[in-house]
Amino acid sequence: MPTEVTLLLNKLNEKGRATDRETLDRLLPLVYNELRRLAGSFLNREHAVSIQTTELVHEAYFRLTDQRSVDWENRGQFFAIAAQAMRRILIDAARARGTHKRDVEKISLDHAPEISAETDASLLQLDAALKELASLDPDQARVVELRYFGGLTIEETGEVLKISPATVKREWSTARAWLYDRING
Amino acid sequence: MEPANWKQIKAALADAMELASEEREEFVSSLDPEIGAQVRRYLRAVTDARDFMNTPALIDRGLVDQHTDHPVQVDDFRILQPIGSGGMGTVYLAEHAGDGFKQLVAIKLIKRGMDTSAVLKRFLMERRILAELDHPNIARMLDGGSTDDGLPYFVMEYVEGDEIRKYANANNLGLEERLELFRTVCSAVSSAHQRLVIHRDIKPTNILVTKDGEPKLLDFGIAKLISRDWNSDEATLTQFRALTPEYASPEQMDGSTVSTATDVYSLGVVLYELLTGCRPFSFREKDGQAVADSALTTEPPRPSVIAARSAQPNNRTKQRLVDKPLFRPARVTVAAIEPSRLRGDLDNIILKAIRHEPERRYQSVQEFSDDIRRWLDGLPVNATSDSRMYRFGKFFKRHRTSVLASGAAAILLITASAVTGWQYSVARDQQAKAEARFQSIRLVARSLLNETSRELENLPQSAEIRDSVVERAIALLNSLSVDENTDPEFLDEVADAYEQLAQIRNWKFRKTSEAIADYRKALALRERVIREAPENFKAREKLSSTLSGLSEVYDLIGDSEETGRLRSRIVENHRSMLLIQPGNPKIIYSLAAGLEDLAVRIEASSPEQAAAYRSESLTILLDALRYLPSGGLSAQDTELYVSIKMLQGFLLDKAGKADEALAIFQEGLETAKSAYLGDESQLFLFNHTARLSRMIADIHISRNDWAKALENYEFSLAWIRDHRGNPKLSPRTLRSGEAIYTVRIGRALHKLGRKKEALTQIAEGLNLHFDYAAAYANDASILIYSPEILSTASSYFAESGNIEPGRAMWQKFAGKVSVFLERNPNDAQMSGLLAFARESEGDLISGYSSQSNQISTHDRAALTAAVRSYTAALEIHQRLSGKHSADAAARLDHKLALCRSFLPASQAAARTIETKKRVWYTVVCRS
Repeated sequence: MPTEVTLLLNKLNEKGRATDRETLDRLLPLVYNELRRLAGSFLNREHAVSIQTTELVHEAYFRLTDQRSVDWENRGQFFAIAAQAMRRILIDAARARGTHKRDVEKISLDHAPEISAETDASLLQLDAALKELASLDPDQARVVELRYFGGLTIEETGEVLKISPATVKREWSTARAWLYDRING
Repeated sequence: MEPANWKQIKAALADAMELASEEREEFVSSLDPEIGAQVRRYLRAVTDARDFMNTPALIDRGLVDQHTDHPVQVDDFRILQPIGSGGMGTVYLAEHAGDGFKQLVAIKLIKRGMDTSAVLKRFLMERRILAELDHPNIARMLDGGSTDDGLPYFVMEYVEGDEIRKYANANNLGLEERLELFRTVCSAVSSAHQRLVIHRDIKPTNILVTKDGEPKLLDFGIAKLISRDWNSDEATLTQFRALTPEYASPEQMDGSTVSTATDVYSLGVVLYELLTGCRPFSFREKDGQAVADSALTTEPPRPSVIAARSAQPNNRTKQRLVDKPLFRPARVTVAAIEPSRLRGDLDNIILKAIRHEPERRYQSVQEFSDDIRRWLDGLPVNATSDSRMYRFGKFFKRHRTSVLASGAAAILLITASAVTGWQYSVARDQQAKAEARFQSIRLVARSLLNETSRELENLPQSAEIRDSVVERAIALLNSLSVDENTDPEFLDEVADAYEQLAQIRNWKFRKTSEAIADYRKALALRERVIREAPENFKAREKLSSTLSGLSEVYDLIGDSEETGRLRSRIVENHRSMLLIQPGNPKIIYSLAAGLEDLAVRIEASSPEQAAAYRSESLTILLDALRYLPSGGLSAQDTELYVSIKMLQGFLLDKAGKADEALAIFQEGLETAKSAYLGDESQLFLFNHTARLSRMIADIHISRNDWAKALENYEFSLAWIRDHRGNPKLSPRTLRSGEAIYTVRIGRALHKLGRKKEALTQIAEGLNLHFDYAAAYANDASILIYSPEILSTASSYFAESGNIEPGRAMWQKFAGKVSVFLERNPNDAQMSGLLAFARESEGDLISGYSSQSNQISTHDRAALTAAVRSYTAALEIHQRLSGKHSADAAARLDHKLALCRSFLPASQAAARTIETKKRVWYTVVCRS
């Protein structure tokens, strides 16, 4: 039986992605929840302090979809949504920790809160900068979201956005420069 | 910065980055100065940002550790702790912080990351629905708003209490109290319905009962407004919350239209559980389709039955449909409620609420609640009046095709149940009622076992419905407490029922272990009767028939030891019967037949003992004939006379007295024929006439007199065709008889050199046979009787040199057998048949003759093919146990050796190839 995500992805393809905001809205929570759940199990299982988003997103893809009935185009859609979800998860977590920062410091010194706090701050800055970039150049911002939050390779990013790897490279390196300048400049 | 501007800068920057550093300056200088300045700025950043964002975002432990992802304060409410979490929202316990007056509330807040427009829409809808509902038994909405982050929330009355099952058990509520509590829940649901709201997720965990005993209905999270504008939102729902399959109605499971009847269903399941401690269906795998199928095809057990079953602490429920009791001691429930009080009206009320078809449930929650009220007031309930027809209706619906063909059976059932009702209502006092109930249940069971079951017997594909009819009859009889009953007639009836069930299972379905279990139950009952009254002749007759049925099953599965043991018991039983009624010719005959059977069994191991049995058998047969009245035989006596003649002739032939045997057979034939012509209801005589004619033909064949054999076969065929018009004759007997005699005639014609006619007859006979087999495709007994006709045809194919059509015939047969084997790979008899088909095919290819014990072909390809068939047969026999298979294996080894002796290739090489092919062959046979 095709999974719900598969069905939604295929539906997305039928309708044409740009217009089907509603289906995207249904997909996002599903992917979001799965990614969060997976993140929890990954981190607990491997006693890892941190992991990259890449394997998480790919794992979520295999868990949530029936690969036989998802075509290539929809796979790209999935990664785009996953990258978006991953961004939300990380930003939400950073924001939540910000809110309870004092509590965190008091209670869990052994969890190296300084590192977390530092990462959190830069992550929130990055998010804000990326929002600005999106208003300047939405396509370039998507490249960043896919590469950084989705963990996609240059090639995968090109497939999702239907642009050549060379273009992805150009967009990616110039975006990094812009973001770095925006945050540290 | 303007977007257009950035794109220009970006393009130049990218170009610059692709250049080597020494070329960059030249390139940048050539740019528009304003753009150039920007490019320089970003090129600096590129150098500094070497590691920036170089690896994808990291997820650190902080994500997992932050259990404090909960808000602290929402407007004026201080969050205390989360108390529940759904797909899209979390419910928190909170207190109002104002005025020094602390009021506890529940706040439902949308989850972070879930605030997509679809979720928001759904959430706001729940808020809107709740705002409209105002009922003391529905958790009230107090307030609503948005957090600082813009997430919507709403505040509800906080209900402190236990969920309904726990509350009822902890307070040891009695039946009436439970029903009243449940009716209050109904009033809440009903009030929601009046406001056009369907809850759609009613289950015990959504019904809390406060300390004061007030139930409160919670969680309208997937509720639906019955109005047009919300229909589009339907598909979205299940994304946010999986349905609770145990309480969800069939229409929810298969996605059909949901109505107020959906809530009636869920309430029905809740009541079922509240009164019995179990749910009507349990679904371990949460596969929607399986659940829908299960609810569609299985009728839930009656609550009273389940309650009674779980009342016995050590009685592990055998019925898989029934869930384990939810609360540790289901006995708590049962202690408070006497299961027998549920029987009848309350059973009917609950079952009416949880019927599969929404239109057959109560049409409103109000109606459901009112019927319970009627029960509480001691008034007749509506559910009972229509339940009887419904049950039979549903039962027959499951077997629609067969029933259409046997309207008679349906009418019978309904009549029988009407009689039950009538007898019940006319009886005055309790004892008379009990007696009436006993007798009428017996009557229904009897009519199911006799008329209905027999009615169905001759319908093709009817075995399944017969099986359930008989099973139902047994359930009815068992409800009359068989264990305490000592009435031999009644015990007999129950044993008969088991025997009938065993026969169906053995002969129709090849479910041999079930058949054995059924026969054993019948046997135990028979033995019980005889223990009470050893001189009961009739009981001993029944014992013989059960023993012989059981021994047949063991014979089929190749357990010759147990078969022999049971057959000896039959012989012993017959000897005892002769002590009770010396000179009873029927019993003498049965004893003689039993002795012959024992003789066959021990023939190989002790031929002297076998010969002794046979001579005793022949001697007592003469006795039997003496005890028969001379002349003017009754129908039964005629039947017996013919049987005696048949056995006598058979034993004489065995003893080498073929001429005497022929004379005896002829006497039997004449008697049977004229008696049948005088009374065409004597079907036994009809069959024996044909059979004797064939036995005569067999003797002629053994003397190579094919002309005389042909005469007899033609007589048999004409006999069958002439009497086709007799409606009492089973179409199966006629069709199988016609096929077999046609094939036998074909073979005889060939032997007599009339080759063209022979071919026509063989083809016609096989067509008749396979048509007939296809008509009874689910009936294993057709296959069991097939070897006779197929072997005859095979002999013809061998003798006429038509190997290929013969092989095709055996392969077709093997295919049919494989269908049954697939269903039950351990079926020894079907395995035996498959081996038989393979071996016969091998014999045909190799030109094996049992008389010379030699093969006639030396063709290499043919020998290889024969080796393949023999090996397949050998493999099967090696897997089977028993003497028969051991003999067969030895025989096959011999045949294989014969074939290999003509194959020039070295043995070892040949074997390797065979092994490979064998695998292939097995695969083909199984597919």
